[in-house]
Amino acid sequence: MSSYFFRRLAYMLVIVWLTSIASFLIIQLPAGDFVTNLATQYARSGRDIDQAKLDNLRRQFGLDRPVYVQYFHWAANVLQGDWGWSFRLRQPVVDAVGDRAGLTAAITLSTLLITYVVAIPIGIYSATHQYSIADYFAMFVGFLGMAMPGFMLALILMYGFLNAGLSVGGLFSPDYMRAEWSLDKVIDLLKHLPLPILIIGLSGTADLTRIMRATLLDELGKQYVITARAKGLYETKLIFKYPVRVALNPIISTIGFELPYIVSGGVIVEMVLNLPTTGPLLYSSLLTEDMFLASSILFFLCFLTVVGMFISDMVLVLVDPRIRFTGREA
Amino acid sequence: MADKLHPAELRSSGLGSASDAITVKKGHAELSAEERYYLASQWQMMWRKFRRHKLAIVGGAVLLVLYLSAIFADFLAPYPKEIRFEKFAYRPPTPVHLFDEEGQFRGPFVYGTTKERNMETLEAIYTVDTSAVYPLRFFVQGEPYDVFGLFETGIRLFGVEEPGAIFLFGTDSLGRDLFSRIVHGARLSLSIGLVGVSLSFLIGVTLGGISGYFGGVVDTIIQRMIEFFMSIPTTPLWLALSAALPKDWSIVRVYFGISIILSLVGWGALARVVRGKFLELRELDYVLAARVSGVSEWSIIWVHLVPNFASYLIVHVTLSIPGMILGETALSFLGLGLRSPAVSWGVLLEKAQNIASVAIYWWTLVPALFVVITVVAFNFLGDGLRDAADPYKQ
Amino acid sequence: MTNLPESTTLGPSTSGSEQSLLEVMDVRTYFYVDEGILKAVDGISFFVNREETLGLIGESGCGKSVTALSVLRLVSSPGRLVSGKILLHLDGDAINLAQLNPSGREIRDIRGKEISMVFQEPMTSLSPVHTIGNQIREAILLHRTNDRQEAQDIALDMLNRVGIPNPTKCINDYPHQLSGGMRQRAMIAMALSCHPKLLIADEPTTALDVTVQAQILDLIKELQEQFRMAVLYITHDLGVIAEMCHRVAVMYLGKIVELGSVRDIFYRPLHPYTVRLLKSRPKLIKGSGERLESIKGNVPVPLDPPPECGFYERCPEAIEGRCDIAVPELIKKEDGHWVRCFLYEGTG
Repeated sequence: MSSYFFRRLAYMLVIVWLTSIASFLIIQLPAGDFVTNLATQYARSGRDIDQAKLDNLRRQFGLDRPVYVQYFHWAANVLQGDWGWSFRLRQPVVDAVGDRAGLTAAITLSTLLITYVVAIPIGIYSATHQYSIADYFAMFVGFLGMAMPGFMLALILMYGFLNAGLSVGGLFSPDYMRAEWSLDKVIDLLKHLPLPILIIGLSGTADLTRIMRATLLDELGKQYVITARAKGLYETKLIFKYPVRVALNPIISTIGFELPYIVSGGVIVEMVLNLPTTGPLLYSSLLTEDMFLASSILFFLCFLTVVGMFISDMVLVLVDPRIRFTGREA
Repeated sequence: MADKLHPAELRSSGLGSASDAITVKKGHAELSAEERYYLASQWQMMWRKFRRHKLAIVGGAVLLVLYLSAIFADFLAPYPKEIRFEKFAYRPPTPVHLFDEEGQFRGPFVYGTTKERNMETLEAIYTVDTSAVYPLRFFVQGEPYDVFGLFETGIRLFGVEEPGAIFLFGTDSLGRDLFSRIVHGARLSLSIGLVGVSLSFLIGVTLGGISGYFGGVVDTIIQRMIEFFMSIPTTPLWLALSAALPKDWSIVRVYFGISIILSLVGWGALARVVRGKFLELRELDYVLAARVSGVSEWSIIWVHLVPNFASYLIVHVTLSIPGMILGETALSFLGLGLRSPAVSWGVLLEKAQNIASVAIYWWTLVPALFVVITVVAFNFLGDGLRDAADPYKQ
Repeated sequence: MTNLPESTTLGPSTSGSEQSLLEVMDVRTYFYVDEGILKAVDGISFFVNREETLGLIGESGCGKSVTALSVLRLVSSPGRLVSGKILLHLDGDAINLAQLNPSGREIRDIRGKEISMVFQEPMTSLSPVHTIGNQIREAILLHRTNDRQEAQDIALDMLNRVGIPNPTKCINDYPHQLSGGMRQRAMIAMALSCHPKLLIADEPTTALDVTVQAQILDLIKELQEQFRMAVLYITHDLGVIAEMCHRVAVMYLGKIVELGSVRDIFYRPLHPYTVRLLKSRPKLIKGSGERLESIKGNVPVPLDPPPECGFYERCPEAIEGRCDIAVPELIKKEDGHWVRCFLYEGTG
């Protein structure tokens, strides 16, 4: 059991390290770097800047060193808590990102939770009350989730909200935006969370509901359910003890795999809604080739995903060792 | 209570529990009753089941219409995609009337508009000019275009005479007809999905096949790769890679660049499916039988194994296309994918980012509707195919 | 009241009889599917006496399993018990199971306690994610006691009685950890844990090896004597019938076509179907060298069946003009021996 844990932990760390390299390299792909970008901007606005100054800047930022050296410096610093310097914002990456990372994590995790908490009961109800109004409603929502992923929904909702005269403001009311963290601020955040969670989580929830419904329907037709009924068990109790339990297995064991999709969907929705999270910042830093900022955010998002998956796996194994056997061995 | 048979009676009547003549009869009966069922080939069966799935048929039909529209875009669109009508910037969709003001039937036609300016607010006011009647004509002569590089023609499906204009979905900020641009945009939007999926398919099937068929170390390595790729959130990756595309690349290069980027992420799931199927099928008895009969490995793979899960592949591919289309739309929408003068639905939507303008000029969101319709149609089609391919479903 | 004419009233007189435990009268269970009405059970009548084994024999698709499920009201949508009576005689009272609410309290009290069922495939009939002990205790806790320890003891005792070598280990095992025979034994233990008066066994040995089959049959016989219960044994295997049953009901296309003692059926079969069934057994007698006989034609699907004798198409003795225009009634040919065939019309 513990050997399994350590094996997975080691494996996860390797992946995290690989993603850090990948994040760094990907940002390097565009030709040129921040300095060339800057030069182009200056040229466009008609200002002149001479080459020596540019070279100087480059040396200052350490952009003249070979790539792998740059990476090692960055990686080493990251381990010490220094994630580099944002050229554009002229501050350490950690400051530039600020609360955004935490907020992204908060949105991601709450979306994951809500997705499962909502989808499973609806799926169960749908399967046991086939062709009822609730079932059709669930199917309609499923349809919606399938047809309108994240940003589309965000666009349409924003349009609708604007027409209705409501504000579509990010994650905080204007008062709390710059305020210090306090219980009130947390409550304010909670009040604003439902909309992003709804948008990001809708397609995942719809999918999950459909899968839960189908899996449960499969199980409901199986022989052991009849056996249980033949013993004289009460119907509701029977359904939860047997087919639901069996149907839940594959669904819960893959809870970790939802994470990449939520993070991914989240980025776009965050950008459309312009939330104070990492998505919009990633976008702007990519456009300006603000190297360390972009790499750091990219790495952070991968890190969030991979570590999240690892944690969920471990929690699952703790809760039910059987899941380890049934869920993974594909 | 009646007596049971004595053991002596059992022996003399020669009853053996292993011999079950009724079972023999049962087998006979089964065959005859289901002869038709068994004789149908796999594809015939699939088609039969597919036909019952009405939503899938609708989806398929819709897609057919969309793809045909894309192919014959020039013919369908009343105006070329670049043409600007400076006088008609940001026009709402032109309504087509059948009856004029007096209630007389005139066939389909549109009214002209006159533009005035409110001298105080300087706002442009468009009023419908009911005196200017422009009948809608079919198979009109419009701007010439060339057909697949073979010949030139100017015939378009419908149009109105100048100075009338018909903008079924309104115009954008530069006075370009949105309907024409949407029809043209279908070309890029719909095809990029196909290209991306083909690439994914190639990578996925190859790697998945190798992994599943040969097993061992190769399998483990490839599996780890798949897991790695699947645990990375796709959008940040797309953003980063798209930002990496040089800004001076031609549209064609950008197009292929985007398809490659999109496909890079999708192959993992497909490889998994292929691998799983190979693992499952290669243990089956009929593979063993084939090997024992001396069939070559290559034949086994292509003649025995692949046809068995070809249907799953088709289903998977069909269901992956919407993801690609959405991906391209999202990227272009954010300015990181295709850019002007290329026209795709995502590019058209990029103009709709400004919420204020969307509130007033709501028709700029129409491309989104097309994206949704396409995605839904593909999903229905894929669902229908999946149900049809499942051998156990009646 | 039964809607069978007086001459066809079955068995010893109904209510208050000492012998008869379960009386099934003209039960019909139909399935309402897209293609039409599937009449799986179309007028079944039989009775099971206390402490005796009634064999229900028929081919696949004739409705045997649906009959068993109907008794315990386990048939679910799109199937429904449409008409008929199912009288269970308990302590002098007769309860009509056909009129009980399928998910109500009364029927649940009867399931597992007065009437139990074992099924054909033990692997799929037991929950894969619960231990054997859990599943057996569940029945006990439901009907016999509230005490968990007592339930555990009873469960262990039952596992012992069904011949499981190491009950204390087995009780904590999962179904997939046991062999097929052991699983079936465990299922029997579960079914008998509350000492039911009637055990319905739906082809319990069909999925097992021949040697294991023999063991399980012996086990059921032994337990029947021990627990003094009646058994409704459903099978398609004549050999099993010969070994296990006191009386036999032959079923074809949703109806009982012949009902009698095991000797009646084997030595004096009346219905053409029964006759052919017996003839089509390969015999292990030296020097027989006969051709294996089979019944021509196939078992029809009972979808919207025409009003004729179900066996008409395949019956070598069919009377045209009689057998193809009406359904024969079940009539008493001699004491304890009923048949449903126009050949015996007016001879009862």
